[in-house]
Amino acid sequence: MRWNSLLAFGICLAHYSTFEADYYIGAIRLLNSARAYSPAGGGNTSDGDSIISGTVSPPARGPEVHSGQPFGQFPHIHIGHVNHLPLKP
Amino acid sequence: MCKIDITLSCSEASDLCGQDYFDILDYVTEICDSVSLVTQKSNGLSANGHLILEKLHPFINEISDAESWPGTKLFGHTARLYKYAYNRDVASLLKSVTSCLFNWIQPDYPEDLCLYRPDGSVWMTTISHERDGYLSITPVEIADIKVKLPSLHALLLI
Repeated sequence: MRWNSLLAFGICLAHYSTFEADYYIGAIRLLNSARAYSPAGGGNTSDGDSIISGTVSPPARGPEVHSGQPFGQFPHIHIGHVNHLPLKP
Repeated sequence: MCKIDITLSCSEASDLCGQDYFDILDYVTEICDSVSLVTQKSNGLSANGHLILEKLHPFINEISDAESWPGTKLFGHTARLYKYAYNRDVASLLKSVTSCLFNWIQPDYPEDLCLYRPDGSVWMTTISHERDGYLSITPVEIADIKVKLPSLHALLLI
């Protein structure tokens, strides 16, 4: 049963492109980073910068703001397809 | 004259594409004399993206590392900002590259197409990854757009 599960997992993984695999590896790293920041009450823009540069391999952007625009007027980052992860200024 | 920011009512379902987009690029050759694009290291640039920068290079006015450009401000890092002359040749080149305003997104394209008047003020701002764009225009320009580009006027959230 375990081998069947592993095989199924392997087949699923093979269907992902390199980008997708990188995306999930990056997401796990990001989750670990976020856990490290959460006891202090969340990350700020500086933390966001180190998260982007140090732990995430898929396409990412930020920390950034889009002044005057309702969706992005506060500092945030994007990881892959994830929108607007807010940061403390 | 007072300028107002007017958002383009484009969404994921209704990008500004095809002839409407081409018409804007042609129309602004009479209004704007420069255009900018940005690239960010974290998002990479494909061979197609590099090719676009090569094609545009003869029209380059300025390359700089910028913390901000119309619509976006970064914290603690910079992006490469390319400013080009804008004229009919560049408009044709931009039209040949992609047929949708919000296609300007890495890795296949440089990002955030923005257009500037000769005095340096911004006429059109786009934030490609947010699928957001707006025009900073005067009431006179709005009236002109209504006559010359009714399809664009219909997209303005006035």
